[in-house]
Amino acid sequence: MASGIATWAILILLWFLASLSQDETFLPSPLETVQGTKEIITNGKLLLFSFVSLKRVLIGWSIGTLVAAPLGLVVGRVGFLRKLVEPFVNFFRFIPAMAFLTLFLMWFGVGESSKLILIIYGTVFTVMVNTIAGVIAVDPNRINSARTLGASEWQIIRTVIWPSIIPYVFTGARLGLGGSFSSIIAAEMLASKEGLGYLIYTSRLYFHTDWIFAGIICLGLLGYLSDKLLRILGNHLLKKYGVHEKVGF
Amino acid sequence: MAVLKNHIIEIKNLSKAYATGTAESNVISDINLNIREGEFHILLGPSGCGKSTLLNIIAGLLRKTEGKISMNGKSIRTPDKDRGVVFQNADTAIYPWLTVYENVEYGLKINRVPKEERKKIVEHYIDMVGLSEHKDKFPGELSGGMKQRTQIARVLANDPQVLIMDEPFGALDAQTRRTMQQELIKIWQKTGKTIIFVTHDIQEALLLGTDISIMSKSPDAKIYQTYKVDFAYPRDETTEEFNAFYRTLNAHFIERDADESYDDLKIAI
Ligand SMILES: Nc1ncnc2c1ncn2[C@@H]1O[C@H](COP(=O)(O)OP(=O)(O)OP(=O)(O)O)[C@@H](O)[C@H]1O
Ligand SMILES: [Mg+2]
Repeated sequence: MASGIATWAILILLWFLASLSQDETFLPSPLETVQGTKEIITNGKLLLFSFVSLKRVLIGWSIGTLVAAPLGLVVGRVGFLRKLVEPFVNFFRFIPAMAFLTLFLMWFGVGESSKLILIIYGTVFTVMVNTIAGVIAVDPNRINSARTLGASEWQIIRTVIWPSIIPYVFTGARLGLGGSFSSIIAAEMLASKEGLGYLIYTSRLYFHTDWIFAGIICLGLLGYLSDKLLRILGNHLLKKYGVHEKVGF
Repeated sequence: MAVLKNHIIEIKNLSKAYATGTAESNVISDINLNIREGEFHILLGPSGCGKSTLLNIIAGLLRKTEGKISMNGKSIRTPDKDRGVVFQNADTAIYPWLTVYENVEYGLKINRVPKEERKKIVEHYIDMVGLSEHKDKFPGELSGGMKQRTQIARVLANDPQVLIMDEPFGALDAQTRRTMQQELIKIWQKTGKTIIFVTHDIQEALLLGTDISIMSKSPDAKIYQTYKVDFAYPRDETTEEFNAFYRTLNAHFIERDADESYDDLKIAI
């Protein structure tokens, strides 16, 4: 905690020193940023835009995770599906979701759906890759014990594979959440009238560099807090599945 | 002498080759073995001779390449809850997200035993393996011996006819190992189950088994000879008879080093 405060103090000090010799529209000082932030807090923009971005991320990410975990389980468990999906996955894993942004805008319009689809796509991909890795890593002894105790394939999936892969699904969901924030900012920069991405992108037009800073800081906070919340929930609710061991950083 | 019971497991000319490159070499070949109901049957053999391979075929986890294997006259093809398996590595066999109680309950739940009955059975076997005070702990909070007891209780709770154990005490320290051996004998006497038990420890074989089958080295490992052990339980490893028997069994393994072939070994008891 103390070292965290020190890190931030040093960062703000450096920022302050750098801003001394610069114009406000090029690099606003910390104080100017605070004042600018006050403006968009009082007119309600910052809160509204944060809420809009967060809402998009949470909806898309939840849907993505809920779809990807069972899908990854089935694909990971069924040999021929895994072979079928593997080359596809290994090709697309190098293409960030944002590369599809213009395509999605063209196909699904500039409304909410294209943004949600972008987030869902990114999340599904990340969570699925992790889930499949988890299924492959399940110790055969676990499966064999269940089998010799009389478990059917469906019972094995439900009572052995699923609990075994929860740490992997969780890691995938965390990574997916990070990716969702990147995707939504990019999407809002290109095609939206609301959201933090829109704020960051358009503030430049009004020479309000301080608002850009406010937007970026707000984004960082949202990301940090939602990840932190997810980790706390994971540690508490999923501890017995081994989630606490997997989450170090 | 008591009336001989029926053969519960019958193995005839059984061979197994793993599908890797040299397909023609069998790990085990031409295995013949009959196990009677209630026997405590030990498979004793050098490391890598194919003991686990044979056990896994009996368990139904591995497919045979040739020959016949049956339980109660029915061919073995898949695992079945009539054949309970205690794996060597309790760490990976029991489930870390379930408590001791829930682990022992697992098989009963899978087989849809009603809740009331389940509770009675689980508590009975947890008590039998001496874990009553630890039943709400998770495996991460248990010692190696306690994990293995949990696994044994889980298998027993499922009430299999045959108990298959693959070096279940191999990873334990000498002290715990000795305690577990004594408890296993008690459990076996109490339940009257048929046990097939793999070890490469001659003393363990002699402390536990009613029957000891010696396996030769792989490839083409066979059951070389089966001995009956008539010593009363609990057995005392310091008696002269025990040591004489030990030397007899040990001779198989010494001779093997001097001369790779078993064929000219003649051992009578
Ligand atoms: N899945 C497999 N594929 C190929 N070869 C295997 C496989 N499993 C075992 N083997 C080989 O079969 C032989 C017998 O193995 P097995 O595990 O049955 O021996 P073991 O008698 O149980 O040995 P240990 O006492 O060390 O447990 C070994 O030479 C091993 O290399
Ligand atoms: Mg083995």
